[in-house]
This record gives sequence, C-alpha cells and structure tokens, in this order.
Amino acid sequence: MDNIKKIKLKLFICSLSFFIIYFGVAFSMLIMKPNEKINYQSNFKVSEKKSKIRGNIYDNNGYLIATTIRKHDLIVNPSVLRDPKKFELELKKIFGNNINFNFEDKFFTNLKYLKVKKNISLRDYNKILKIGEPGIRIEENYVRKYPGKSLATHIIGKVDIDGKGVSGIEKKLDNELSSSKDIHLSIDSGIQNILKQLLLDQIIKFEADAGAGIIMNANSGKIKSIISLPDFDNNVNNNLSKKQVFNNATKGLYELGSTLKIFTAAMAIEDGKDNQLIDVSSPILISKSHRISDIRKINFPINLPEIIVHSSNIGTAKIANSLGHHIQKKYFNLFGFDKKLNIEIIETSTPLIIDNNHPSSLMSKSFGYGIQISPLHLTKATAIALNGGKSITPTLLQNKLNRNKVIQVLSKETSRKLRSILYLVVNDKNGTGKSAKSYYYPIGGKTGTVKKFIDGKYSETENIVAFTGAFPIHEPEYVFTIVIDQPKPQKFSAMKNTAGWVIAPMIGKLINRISPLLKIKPSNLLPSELGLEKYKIRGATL
Amino acid sequence: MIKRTYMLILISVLGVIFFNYEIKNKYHHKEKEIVLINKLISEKKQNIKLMRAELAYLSRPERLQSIAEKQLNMKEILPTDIWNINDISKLYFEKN
Repeated sequence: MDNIKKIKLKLFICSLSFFIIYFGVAFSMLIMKPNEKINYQSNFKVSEKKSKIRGNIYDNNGYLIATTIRKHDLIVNPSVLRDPKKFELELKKIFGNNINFNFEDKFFTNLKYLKVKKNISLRDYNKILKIGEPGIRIEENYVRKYPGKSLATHIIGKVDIDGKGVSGIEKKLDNELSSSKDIHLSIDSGIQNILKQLLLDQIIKFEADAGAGIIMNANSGKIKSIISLPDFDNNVNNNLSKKQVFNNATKGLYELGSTLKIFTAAMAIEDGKDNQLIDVSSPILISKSHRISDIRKINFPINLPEIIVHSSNIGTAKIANSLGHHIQKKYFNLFGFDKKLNIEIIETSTPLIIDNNHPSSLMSKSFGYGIQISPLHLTKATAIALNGGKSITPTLLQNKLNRNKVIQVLSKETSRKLRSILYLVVNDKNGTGKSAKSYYYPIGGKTGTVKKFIDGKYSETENIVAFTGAFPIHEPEYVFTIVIDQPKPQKFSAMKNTAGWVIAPMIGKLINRISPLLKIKPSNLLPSELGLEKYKIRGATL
Repeated sequence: MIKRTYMLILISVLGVIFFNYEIKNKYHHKEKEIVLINKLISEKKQNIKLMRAELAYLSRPERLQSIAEKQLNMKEILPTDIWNINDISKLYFEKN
C-alpha cells in the first residue's frame, strides 16, 4: 500500500512539474512574444511616421520642380566636453577654419545645445565621433529644395521652416503635399524658360518696371507657363522685396486698355451690330476735362473690323453706347470678369470694375479704362472669345477632371469673325500689332496701351502695355497674354512705348520658339486658305 | 518502467524548451535584421531623392541653354526644320 502511495505521490509531483514547465513555456510563447512583437512594430511605425515627407512637384514632362531632401545637422553639448581645446582643433581639421567656436569660453561651456554645422556628411560625423568626446550627436532634418531655382517662382510658392506651405501651390495644395502625394503640373519648364528670357529681354530693353506672361491651352484651359517679373530664387528666404514676391500675372490688377476691345467687338457681333458704319472723326466730349479721342485720326465712317484694327477708342465707345450697360455687364460676367479665378494658387484677385449707370463709365469700360483685371482674367476671356465661344476653366494641374459644365458663351460664327479681325490686327499693313507677325505660324492678337493711373490721375508719360492673342489663329490651340508695366520710350523705338513697339516684336519670336515644344506644325496655308472672313481694311487716310 | 517514462518525458520537455529558445532567438535576430534593412532602404531612398534633386538642378533649362550656347556650335531650331515623317517619305517616293 505504502509503495503505491509513494508512487502516486511521485507521479503527482512529476505531472505537476510537467504542467508548470509546460504552461511556463506556453505562457512565454503566447504572452511574452506578442508583447515584444508589438514593441518592434511600434518601432517601425515611428520610423515610418518620421519618413512621411512632403510630396514632390513635377512639371508636365516629369521635370522635378520641388522636392524634400534630408540633411544632417551636427549638434554638440559643450557643457560636457572634456577637452574643449582639443575638440576645437579637431573640428577645424575636419571642416576647415570657417568653424569658429571657442569652447573654452564661458558662454559656450554653459550651453547644453549648440548647432555646430548644418548639413554635414555621415563620413564627417564618424570622424567627429572618433575624437572621443561625449555630447555629440546628429539631428535629422528635412529641407524643401527647388532645383529649378527661379524657374516657376510664383506658381510654386514657398514653405515655412516647419514645412507648411505659405504661398502658391505649396499653400493651396498643402493637404495633398503633406500627405506625401506627388503633384504633376501642366507647366512646361522649357516654355517657362523661353518666355521668361524673351520677356526679360524686352523689360531690360525698355527699362520697364515689371512684366507678366501667360500661355494657356485655348481648349482645355491647361496653363503651360506663367511668368511674373521681377522674380526670385525659391531657395532663398531673405532679402526679398515686395515687388519680387508679388505675382503680377494672377494677383496684379491692371487696366488693360484696348485689349478689351475684343470683348466689346464680341458683344457687337453677337448683337448683330458688326456691319454698321460709325463716324469716328470727332472726339466724344464727356466733361470739360475728359474726352475720348484717338491717336489715328480717321475722317470717314468705318465698320467694326476697321475700328479694331485701327484700335479706335471713339468707335468702340460708340458701339458700347449703342449696346448699353445691361449687355456689357452680362458679357463681362460671362467672360469671368466678375469673380476671382479658381486656380491652384492662392494669389488671385477679384477684378475692380466701376459700377455705375453713367454713359461715360460704359464707354470707358468698352476700351479698357475703369476696369482692372489680372492678366490671367484676360487670358481666359481671350480663350473664350477665340476658341469657338466655349467657356473654359484655367488650371495648373496636368490631369484635372473638369467638373464645370462647358457653356457656349459666344456663337461659333462670332468667334470665327473675331479670329478674322485679330488676324488682321497682326497681318494687315494697317494693324497695330504687325511686328508680331511670324512667317511660320498665323498669329492673331490685339495690342493695348494704357496710361498708368498714378496718384489719382492718368499719367501722360507712364504706360502699361499689353498684348493678347492666339496661335495658330485659324484653329487656336494656345492663347497668350503679355503685360509690361511702365516701359520707357527708347531711341530705337522712335521714342515710343506703345504695345506695338514694346511687346509685339517678341510675340513672333516667342511663338516660333515654343511651337515646336508644343507640337504645333508650321502652317503652309495661304492667308486665303485659313477659313477666315476676308475683311477689307482701309488706311487711316484715303 | 515508469521511471523510464518519466525520464523520457523530462528529456522531451527539455528538448522542447531548447527548441523553443532557438526559434525565439532566430526570430529576434530576423526582426532586428528587418529593422536594419528597412532603415537601409529608407536611407537609400533618401540618397536617390538627393540624386534626383541634383540631376534636376544640373538639367534646369536655364543652365542647359547657356551650356549649349557655349559648347555646341548650333543654330536655334526654326519651325521650318520640323518635318512630319509622312511628308519626308512622300518627298522620297516622289523623287524615286
């Protein structure tokens, strides 16, 4: 009996120890391991969160415009250095003599954190560690870099120290960019460079203050280039003047003068008033001090195409007067002059339009005084007028789904007539923009020269000049707008500073250079084969 | 007889413990390796990014243009220099 009891006890002890060991192992496998696993995974997550860096910005051809790169900063805790003198010497050995820290100085020995050098290589860091001093580490930082420098200054904008966008696309699309999404723009960096150069040439030649240029697809509204001068290098943060930072092309509001005659002509043609003859021989008196007059005196009645080609203020004002306030306002709203343009940058403005029922404001608005719009507004309106009358939405993105419904603003026939008139402005011998002519591409456009409004009155010497148009004009693919602020009269321009002298010469060059990039074939059509209306333009003197 | 069974059980338990320890150890090693590799990958990715930025900086249109003007003795492209492949083949067949 005793024996059996003994055996039972032994068996019990054995099975107990077995169970203890067994469950101990099971416990360590089931409970301990997952714990450690969670630890590891959370480590991963932390490192991944850190590496969630701002997305890149690319242009239409995949050229990198903005990117975020990592850099290492060397941090030293001078209060724990054992041999400051030696450490300083060793640092000088590695970085050269431009490191000037006297670590023995009391000022430094009290410091706990000192950024000794920004952006060091890991190889240098290893060398510093080998000095054998405590209190040395590196800090990882991310910086936003713009490899193209001043390629697309105002479109891209800037970020602050924390990597949050403060202007341009960086601000408007901050949500996408900060969640690591890449953005592809419709901008073409090659065209951007060409437009900037040509514009800069003209600005320097005519000692102008500022300039803006836009090239946009006439049918899809995709913007190929926006230039605003003066500009700056996006990588530079200090010493920027207000003028450099200001985006003239989308934020700047200007009275754009005769370029707006295109839209008065559009209203007149839509209203069936394009064939009447108008007497433009005598100025219109509005008040004692103010009257509407022309530079070219024409003393016989002329029709609408001739009014536009000769750029007659009197003729345009009379047409507008016959149309009335109501129609003008309706069309200005349809062309988008009533509101801000919604594009992918924050720098946009609402046009300023004089809104009263006086006939003088109606007449002056018809040829571009008393209405301040941005060059981008003008580009959009020109596109609508020339692309067959369809409304468009300007955009800077490569693939944007256009949710806005396309409205037929003008009839196709009106648009064709406008194209014919603008073709003549550039290609007729009486046209104001004839130096814009290109021998390879049919171009159409309208010049505009405005007296600048300075200190409450219109200056007699300072001008703003503008040119807007499309190419190839018989089937417009791209529209362009160039604005130059305050060009000075030059000897080589016969002391003139009008749009025909300042901007028109660069248009032909510009289009010859950018068309191959935009894949537009040179036209070998005769003027009569373009499918445009053939208007006869009489000279200023018969 | 019973003693032998005890011994067997004991040995197998010890075996299991050892085996478990080995696997755990390996697992830890691999985990550490993964962390290291991931770190390396992100490092390399950062380097690639830096190189891309460098490439974009060197191939910015402004710089390419000035180099081309200095180094290449070539004229600006004129629109007449651009031909459609169909037009060229047409010309070729007309000649022959």
